[in-house]
Amino acid sequence: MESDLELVQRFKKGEKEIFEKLVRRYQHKVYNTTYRMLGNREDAGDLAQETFIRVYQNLDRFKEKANFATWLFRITTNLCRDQLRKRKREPATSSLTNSGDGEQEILIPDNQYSPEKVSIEQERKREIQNQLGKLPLEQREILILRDIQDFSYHQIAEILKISPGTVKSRLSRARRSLRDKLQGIVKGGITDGS
Amino acid sequence: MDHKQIKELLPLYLDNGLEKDELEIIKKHLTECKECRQELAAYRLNQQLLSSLNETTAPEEFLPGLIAKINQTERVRHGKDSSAGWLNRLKRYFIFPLKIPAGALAVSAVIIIVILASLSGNFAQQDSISSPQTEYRQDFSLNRNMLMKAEHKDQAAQLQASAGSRVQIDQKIIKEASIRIEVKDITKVYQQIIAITEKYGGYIANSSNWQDDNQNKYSNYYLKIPADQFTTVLDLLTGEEIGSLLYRSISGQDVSEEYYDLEIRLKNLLLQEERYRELLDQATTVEDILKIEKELERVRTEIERLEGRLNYLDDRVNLSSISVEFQEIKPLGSGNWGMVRALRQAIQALSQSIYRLIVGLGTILPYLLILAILYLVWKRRK
Repeated sequence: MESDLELVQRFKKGEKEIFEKLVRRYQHKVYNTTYRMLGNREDAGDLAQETFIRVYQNLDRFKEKANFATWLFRITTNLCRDQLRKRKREPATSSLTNSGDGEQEILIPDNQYSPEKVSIEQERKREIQNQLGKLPLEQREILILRDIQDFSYHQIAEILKISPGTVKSRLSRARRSLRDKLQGIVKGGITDGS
Repeated sequence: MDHKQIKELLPLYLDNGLEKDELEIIKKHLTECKECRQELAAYRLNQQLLSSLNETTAPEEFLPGLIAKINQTERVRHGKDSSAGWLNRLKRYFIFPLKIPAGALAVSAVIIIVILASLSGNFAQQDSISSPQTEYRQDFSLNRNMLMKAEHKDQAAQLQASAGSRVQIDQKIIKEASIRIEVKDITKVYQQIIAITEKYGGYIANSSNWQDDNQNKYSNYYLKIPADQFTTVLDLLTGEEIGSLLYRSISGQDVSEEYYDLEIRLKNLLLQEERYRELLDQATTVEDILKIEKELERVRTEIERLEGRLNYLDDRVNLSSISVEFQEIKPLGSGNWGMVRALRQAIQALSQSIYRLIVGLGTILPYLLILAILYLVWKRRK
């Protein structure tokens, strides 16, 4: 399998069709990120497309020393942030909650096929999605990048352009914040872990 | 460290994000504090659940929609400088001031083209009429050959020169050439190619032969030649023993940067692997051993990938490629073109006789003139 760098080099040489390969490689990850950031599929789709369009337009100028994935996600997170700030300024008609920075509508969980038996874990999962949507922008961002998209501390630092120390403190705060919010809601199900 | 600080570090315990000393403290604390153990379990559960949210994928229409949008934006970008402008200008050029019926124009154009085509198709004719033409062509191609040889030597020299003008390091260049040669007898070519490639330590990667409707024969050879014999072989192929050169293009792709970059990365990875192995020897807990083995595997895979790429580059650098196409063109006028040939001959015959007529008239003209004068004088007298 070719590396990102090789695909970028081929693109720069003139093989514009190779762009599709790059998109295939990252489309789900990017879409998932925008969806988790923005909370609805339409905006997620639009923003994810916008991300790739920006990539396409700037790829010829991409410095090969840099890492493609972190650059891609920097664009993604920047676009999401802009979009969320825009929402804050112009309250959308369907917005439910609009306080703090970037909080938005309640996320509808994906299991549309709603099972009859809702286990405690399912319940908690639904609540997590819910609370994730209510977290402040920075905390949501970092949880998505770390726990959902599995980027390392170092990569996150590059994507968000912050120091590794900041990554740690933000992550710690985000996880604590999430746990606090969840504690009141779902009782039980916390096993003694060791 | 107080309990509050410990609680702040606790969430990071999950992904090994702690410094060594912090890790020790937390580990110790966990054995003593039930509350923190429960918190850690909660963090772990949350992380797992979040991780499962990874499953949401982009809808099917995403990629096609994206491609469509990109094409659209590209069209807009390029359309801005051209389209409306030059297309209209071009159209204006075609509006003639005169009103020539298009039909007549087309018909006369066709007739002219046909005549020109049949006349120019006059290559190696056996008829004595056109012998001056064939001689001319041979001279021409001979000169072209010599010219190309000179150019070729220039190009090859340039390739060497640019290699030499760079700094000390060994250059990694992938050399490729593509040439087309016309030969008199294509059956001999096969033996010649084999002889050359074997002599210089190369081989024929693939070859093909075919023939077209006019019984012109073609064959194509894709040769792999050791890089240091590249120019020698190329010279031989384009030389006069084989045939006459019709087309040649040479290229050299410099992959030194990538090559040496790969080598360095590979070296580092091998060192890394070594260090991990040492760590593995020192590891005691199962958890640690598993972690290290996972890393080792990752590093090994990467090493193999880089080695593969390095070998690939080595192959392409050490063996240059030459793509040679031979053709044996049958002179026109054999077989199916009987009618055209007849027509051409007829036109030639006609133009010959008109020519002779004019020449004849020219020779008689002075005498006619004298006779005419005498006649007038005689008439006057009468």
